Amino acid sequence: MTTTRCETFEELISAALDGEAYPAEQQRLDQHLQSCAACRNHHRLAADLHRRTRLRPSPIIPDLSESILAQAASPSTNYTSTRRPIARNRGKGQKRAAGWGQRMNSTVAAAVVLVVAMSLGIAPSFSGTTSGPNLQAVDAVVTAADVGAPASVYLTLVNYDNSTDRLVGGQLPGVGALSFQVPGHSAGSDPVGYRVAAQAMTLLRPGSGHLTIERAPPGLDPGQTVELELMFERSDPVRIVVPVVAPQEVDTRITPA
Amino acid sequence: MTDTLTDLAIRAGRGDRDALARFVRDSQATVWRFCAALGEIDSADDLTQETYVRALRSLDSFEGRSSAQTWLLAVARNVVADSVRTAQRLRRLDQRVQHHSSSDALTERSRTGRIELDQLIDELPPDRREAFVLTQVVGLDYREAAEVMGCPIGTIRSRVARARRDLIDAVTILEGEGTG
Repeated sequence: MTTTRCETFEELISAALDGEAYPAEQQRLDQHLQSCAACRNHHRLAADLHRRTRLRPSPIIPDLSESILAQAASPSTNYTSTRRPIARNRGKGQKRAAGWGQRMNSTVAAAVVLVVAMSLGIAPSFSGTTSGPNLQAVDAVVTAADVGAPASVYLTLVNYDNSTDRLVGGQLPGVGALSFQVPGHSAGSDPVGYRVAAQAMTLLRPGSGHLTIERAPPGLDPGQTVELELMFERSDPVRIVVPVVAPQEVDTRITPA
Repeated sequence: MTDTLTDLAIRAGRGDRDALARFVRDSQATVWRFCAALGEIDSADDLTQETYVRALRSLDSFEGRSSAQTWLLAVARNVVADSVRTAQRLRRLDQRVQHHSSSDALTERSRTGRIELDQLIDELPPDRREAFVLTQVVGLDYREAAEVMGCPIGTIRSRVARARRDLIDAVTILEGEGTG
């Protein structure tokens, strides 16, 4: 079947099929094909494969534009103009830290966002809201965990509104509910949720109140991301895409309380 | 020599929201096709989404030195590489096994005279698969594919040729030449 191979010419045959052979090469190939039956055979098979590749059914490509743009506009992945004054404050070489929200200087960054947004009378838009967003979740991380093990969710809530709100629940869409870990509250003792003060930032941090995923789904590995939905008493639900980090790295990824 | 997509990317990087929206709309199908062919088709949506998360994060530093399309596909390539590293290791192992005993699923299919070409492409060695997908599935020319993979054009050329040889060999073995 495959006897001797003229590897150079196999490469030329391939390049020629893609229109990537130089004229001189094409000429050399044509000459060679006259005299080499093995290459003629390969040429025939390669051309057949080329046709089959082109003709194979194409999958239906979804339009993800809206969800990509919604995610781009979400607070933890804020690429929009409100982020830019903050971005300028970052030195070079810290680009990696710029990723998921204002990781390296998040408190300051969130405060800048808050002040800028309030002074301009606008708040950055983010996914999950239709009415004016008055609550943002920033600086969020989820700790990595084995399947079935508990994982923690830490984040900062920024309440732009003049009135107090409450975080009443959270979930991993399609997976399950998040539960509260609030010092001084046994599970279920505070059905009204976690207080989010007006015009302020509420930090959910290790050692203070935070959320947990009781049984981790597959894929909570460092470097991955997970989508969370947070529910509030008054504000619209907030959906954020959160990076998964190793538990020992939490301190380096978010601003401590 | 900036193309439309590159223009849009530069403007989006400067905070132009309309340009950002058009940049995403105009490029997402290509990114998805690449992710579907290089990663697992079932996770193509997630891979695409993650590609834009990473790309848009550094959009403000994109200066159009390469085309926005190859820049974006290079990001997608990293995203896919991160996600399929484990799967690929398994696949390579699987391939080594298959080398000695062609799998039942494939021989089963070959009896019908038709082989899922996609499956054979999936089973190419990673370098060849990438080069083949970029040039034959996504439709980049060799120069663009070289830019995405960060290698010389000649490397693309030889990898595409070897991918073709692998595929021809597989088809020949599975379908049999000239027999039914």
